[in-house]
Amino acid sequence: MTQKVDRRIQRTRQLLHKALIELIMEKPYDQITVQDILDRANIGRATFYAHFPDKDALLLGGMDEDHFDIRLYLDEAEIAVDEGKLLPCYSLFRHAQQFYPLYKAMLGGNGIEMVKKAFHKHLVHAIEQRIKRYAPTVSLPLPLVSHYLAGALMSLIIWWLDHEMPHSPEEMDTMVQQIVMLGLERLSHEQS
Amino acid sequence: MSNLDRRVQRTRKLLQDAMMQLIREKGYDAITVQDILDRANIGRATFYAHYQSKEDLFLAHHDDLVLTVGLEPLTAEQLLSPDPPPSLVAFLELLGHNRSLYQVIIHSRDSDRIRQGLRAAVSVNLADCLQSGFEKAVSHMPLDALTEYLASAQLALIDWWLNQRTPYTAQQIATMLHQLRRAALQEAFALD
Repeated sequence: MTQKVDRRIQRTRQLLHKALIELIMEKPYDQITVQDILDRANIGRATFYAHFPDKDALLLGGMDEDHFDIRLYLDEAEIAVDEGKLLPCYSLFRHAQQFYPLYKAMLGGNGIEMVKKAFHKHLVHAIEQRIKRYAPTVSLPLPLVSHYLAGALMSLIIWWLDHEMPHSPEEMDTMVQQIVMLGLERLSHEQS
Repeated sequence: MSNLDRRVQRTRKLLQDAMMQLIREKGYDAITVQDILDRANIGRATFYAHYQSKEDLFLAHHDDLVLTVGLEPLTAEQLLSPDPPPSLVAFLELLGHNRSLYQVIIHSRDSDRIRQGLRAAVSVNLADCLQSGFEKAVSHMPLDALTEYLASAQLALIDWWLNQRTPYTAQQIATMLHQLRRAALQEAFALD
């Protein structure tokens, strides 16, 4: 019985989230109202507020759902292709390519600041894990390097989205790994 | 423009200039409205006819702060030197002495716009240097992407530094930031 209820709750959340994602691709986030979401999802106002206090909560909560999970690509299985690298770059660009309109609406130059901040935080965390694992000898303070690299990677995704993907994910990955990885290695050598 | 408009503008300019001078002399925290009045030689009633507080005065003119922050033109030699350029140290010292100003900025409604202004100023500063200073070298990364990369990485690092209670001085941050930037440039342009 409880399982059935859980499933219903999950379904409602998915419908709301899917509606919001569709709307984000159609018009600026600021202009989307809760009413728009309700109309699109065909769900009542009371139900919406039983799940989320506002549309921001729906958006950030929705990042756990499977339609657009910006954390998903950071999961171990998904990033196996980036094994051994400091930045989960290839998997990220590939994911962004696959969900291009959505990534552009969320992270592009006119994207949603709230999403950018959340995304930046995820990147910082992922990069710290990787530095600990793959480059424990980096001589600069860990959070300093992780924030620096997360900022760098964010800006490249934004640049790439705004320029309508001028390079393939492979090419972006090569560029980034070359400059970032070799740059850090160079730094370690200079200081040792 | 009517005489009245001109007078209003002159008053505002006097107040704004006084504040910018004081920020550079003693830091935002230490400034009182009285200091600003004394410096601008303007009466209290006039001040409050224009602004509600020093935060208000600052937020009305932040564009000018970004411009007066002292992002001096960089040269390729400076970027590749073992030591950070003095202008970078001065820039970070100014920010470091004005942490509360930074808090005012990030909690203001204008937060995103101010950061974009700062970001644009840092980007232009770097772009000018990359275009003129490295003209003979070929970059592994498109120059505009590289500029974004360096500017965003720099600002992400500064954000971290100003937001957390880190023990690092402006000089130390400038040195580490410079090392990261220099290593990335050396890789990007395949320099030794």
